[in-house]
Amino acid sequence: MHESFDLSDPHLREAAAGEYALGTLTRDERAAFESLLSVSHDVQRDVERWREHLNVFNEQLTPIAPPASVWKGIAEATGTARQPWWRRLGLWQGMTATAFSLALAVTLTFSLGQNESMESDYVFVVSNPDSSPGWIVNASHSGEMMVQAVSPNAPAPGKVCELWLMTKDGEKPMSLGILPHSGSMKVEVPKEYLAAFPDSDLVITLENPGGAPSGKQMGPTLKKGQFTAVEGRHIL
Amino acid sequence: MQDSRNDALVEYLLGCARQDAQALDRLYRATSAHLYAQLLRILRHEASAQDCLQQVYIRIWAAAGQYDASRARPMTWLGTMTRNIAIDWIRRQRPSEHDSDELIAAMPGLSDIEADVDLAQHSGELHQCLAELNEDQRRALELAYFEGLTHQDLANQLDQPLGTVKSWVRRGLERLKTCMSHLI
Repeated sequence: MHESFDLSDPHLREAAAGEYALGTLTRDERAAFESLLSVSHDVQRDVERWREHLNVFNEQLTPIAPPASVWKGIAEATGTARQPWWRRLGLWQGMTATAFSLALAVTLTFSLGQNESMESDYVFVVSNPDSSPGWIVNASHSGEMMVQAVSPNAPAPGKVCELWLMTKDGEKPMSLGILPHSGSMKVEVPKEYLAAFPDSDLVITLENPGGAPSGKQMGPTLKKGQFTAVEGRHIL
Repeated sequence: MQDSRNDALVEYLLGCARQDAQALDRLYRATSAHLYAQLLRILRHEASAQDCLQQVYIRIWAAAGQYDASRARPMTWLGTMTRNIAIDWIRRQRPSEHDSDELIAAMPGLSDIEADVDLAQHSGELHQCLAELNEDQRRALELAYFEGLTHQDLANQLDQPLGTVKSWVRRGLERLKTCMSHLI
């Protein structure tokens, strides 16, 4: 810690709040500051004020509209996408009994698929090359994982896409299965991977049907990323 | 004008906390171009910025209930969240904890020149408080803010003694605070 990092001096403490908000503190300084931050409302206010000051760096940037595919991925992942007409039940009012039965059958079939939904603690959106969402992978703390096909690009003829968990401890990659081209699939993360999986890389490779026989003979990587925690604890 | 925009954004965030899909849609329309510009500035790679932008709004949807309008303006809260997600993304790309320039330069994606975006995004007029900083101070603060660099990273990147860089940061922050406090 440098000599001017003295949290007992109000002036230096306020300066440290600025450096904390800016992100320039060393790990030790940050840890010391956060222990104070967790108990002091004054220090919390200092950090909030500094964040307001520093936001001036964002305000000088010229806004740039993102491509439409980004919103599509968000709407799908949050479940806020506009429902297709045949899922809006109001439309079935006034139809004949036969048509209604048919509608009910369709709705029930769809509901069976929806019942597979689960509580999600982590999410990973697998984008197509044009950034539109291909698959959405949701996972819970308990290791339940649900892969939903949104609109994946078709892989090369005779090929499939395989999802892998790449732990950082040097263990060989663990296959989570072949990604479905439509619908969804459930995967259970084995117990021995439970602690590490939220911070592990997820990789999608192009494979022959049946997938790679072992993690050491994987095909070319199409996409790599990590889960995003959907809880608030890592947000600010 | 600014106040009415703030009020609208607060309403959208409250709507998101109630899981109102229309509120998320409106919030996205009102803020995504600002947050996307911020992500492009930090990540310098369009596909990564688009991935992170999705993550930002997925988190907003999950965490809007934590927003407290008495503690932060909406754009500051959103900008802080966006910055954290982007810098976290950069750090997760690093193969180890050592924050060296070489590793940052070698990160997959960030050296993709083809997709590199124009960094000359500054709007015509520099904010008056940023204009108060001297060139060294502004450069050090911008690098730290947009690239998540610590004092030591800054010293390495700017090829300056650690003490000099710390002084630029601290004096730059003091000037910024003094100027911003007068504006409020």
